Amino acid sequence: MIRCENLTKIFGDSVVLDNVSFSVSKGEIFSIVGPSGTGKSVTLKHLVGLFRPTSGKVFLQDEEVSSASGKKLEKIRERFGYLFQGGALLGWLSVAENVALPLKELTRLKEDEINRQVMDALDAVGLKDAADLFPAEISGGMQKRAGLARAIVRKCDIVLYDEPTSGLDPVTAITINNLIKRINKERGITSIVVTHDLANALLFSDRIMMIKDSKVVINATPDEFVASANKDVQEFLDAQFITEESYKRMKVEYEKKQ
Amino acid sequence: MVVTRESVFNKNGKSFFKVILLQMCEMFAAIGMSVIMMCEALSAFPLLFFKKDSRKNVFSQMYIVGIRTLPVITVVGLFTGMILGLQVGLALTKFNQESFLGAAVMLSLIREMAPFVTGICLSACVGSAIAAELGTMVVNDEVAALEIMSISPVRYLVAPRLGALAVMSPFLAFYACVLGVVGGGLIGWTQLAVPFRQYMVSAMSIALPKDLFVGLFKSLIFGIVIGVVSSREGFSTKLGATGVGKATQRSVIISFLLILVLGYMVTRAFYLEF
Ligand SMILES: Nc1ncnc2c1ncn2[C@@H]1O[C@H](COP(=O)(O)OP(=O)(O)OP(=O)(O)O)[C@@H](O)[C@H]1O
Ligand SMILES: [Mg+2]
Repeated sequence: MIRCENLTKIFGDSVVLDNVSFSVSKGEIFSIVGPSGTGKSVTLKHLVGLFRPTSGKVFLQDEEVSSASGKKLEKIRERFGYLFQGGALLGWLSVAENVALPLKELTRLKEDEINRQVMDALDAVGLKDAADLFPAEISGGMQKRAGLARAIVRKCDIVLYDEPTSGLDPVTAITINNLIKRINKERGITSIVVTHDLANALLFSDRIMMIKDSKVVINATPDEFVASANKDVQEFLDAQFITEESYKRMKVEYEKKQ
Repeated sequence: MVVTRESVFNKNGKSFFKVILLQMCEMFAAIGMSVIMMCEALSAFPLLFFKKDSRKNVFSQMYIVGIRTLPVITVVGLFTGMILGLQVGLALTKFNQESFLGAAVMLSLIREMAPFVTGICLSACVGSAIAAELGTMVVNDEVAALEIMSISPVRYLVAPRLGALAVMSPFLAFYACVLGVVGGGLIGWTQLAVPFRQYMVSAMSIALPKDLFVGLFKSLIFGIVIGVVSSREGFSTKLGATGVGKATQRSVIISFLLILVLGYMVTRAFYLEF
């Protein structure tokens, strides 16, 4: 569904993405992991045309995103929901108004229908009580969850999550991860998740890609990922104390809970 | 693509002349971008009045531009008039021509000084705030979030601000002019013994409708220039918080220079007959 071909991005003199190619099929949960500052957020932004690649192409089905502009780009972007790393809420709108914005601007729903959907989305991320507060009045984790509610409130085909659970407490993080999984299953939405939480990524993703030093290190299923002999992958797994055995145990536990 | 998010050119390690050349290119690109942005914002004006939300937005911007700057404009307008009154009055008393004080103060205010000082105040009070606000929004991905929702940042953010500036700037210039004339009169009356009545008669008899219209036209242009320049600077913010500071600074400097230059050009166009 989404295809990146030899994506290269150079800012000034620094190469942030170097020949990154991958594709994500419909209905998949695709996780991107990697050390800080390797261009994960930049990759996501390329998928919706917020950055133009220095070279290489990005496709959504048969349409080229990386060269689209104007109405064509708008059409493409309408299919995406996007959770930004910092939440990116508008400061002068309340949480509920922020979440309502895509519905108000992109759909022709009635006011009470919008309100209902906004409340549902806020309920799903556990922010119902904060609906009338302003972004500056809530914590960073709450801002992120409000951003998540805004990303998923509208029916779209693909949702991009930039670190949905970083900065959240473990219990809320699990709720959010389950929410991502549930949305993906119920609505058949393709999800691309940038995350540092490798353990959870291994459990809920269909595929995992690791980027390091602006290159793709591995792009594999969770099982293959854990079994990989690649030095960087092993280092990354070690850092979070994940071994093949512990992964298998986690997986059993996880599947019991589903 | 008004929001670029990255430097257009890489100037690292280039020779001096190349850097100058690239900078010139960047300048022309900025001018072109500003013109495109202005046209897009102007074409979005009718839309602003259809939607309830955006109408509310325009009024709140007008409040920020028109009402919140009143204290500053009041002081600036009054003192500009007082300074003019004192300086011109002192010069005129040398030739025993104090009766023309009103005319001199009025003409310089209505034609030049009122739009000029209003423009400077607006660029310092409002333009800088616009650049900083939009710049912060770019850095925090809020503008990107709008773009993802297919909400044009120009329509949603620039148009209300530009509209508010364009509408309020002439009103504020008029207000500054009135206060300035009164200030000059007070100085003439208290310090130079020019009767207030005589001052006002002289002031009102010299001012033509043309002077008023050209003055207001000038301040309309200044309002638009401030809005466009500070929005563009805000949108081209790069590199985090320092970038926001730079954008704010540049927006004030560029608006200031353009106000001076365009002020001269408008005057030249309307007052120098061939
Ligand atoms: N607009 C920009 N202009 C110049 N350089 C940029 C820009 N945006 C990002 N970069 C650079 O690209 C690199 C990758 O940034 P990115 O935000 O994608 O990292 P990341 O992998 O998301 O890291 P993190 O896990 O900390 O979020 C950084 O070194 C950053 O300096
Ligand atoms: Mg990131």
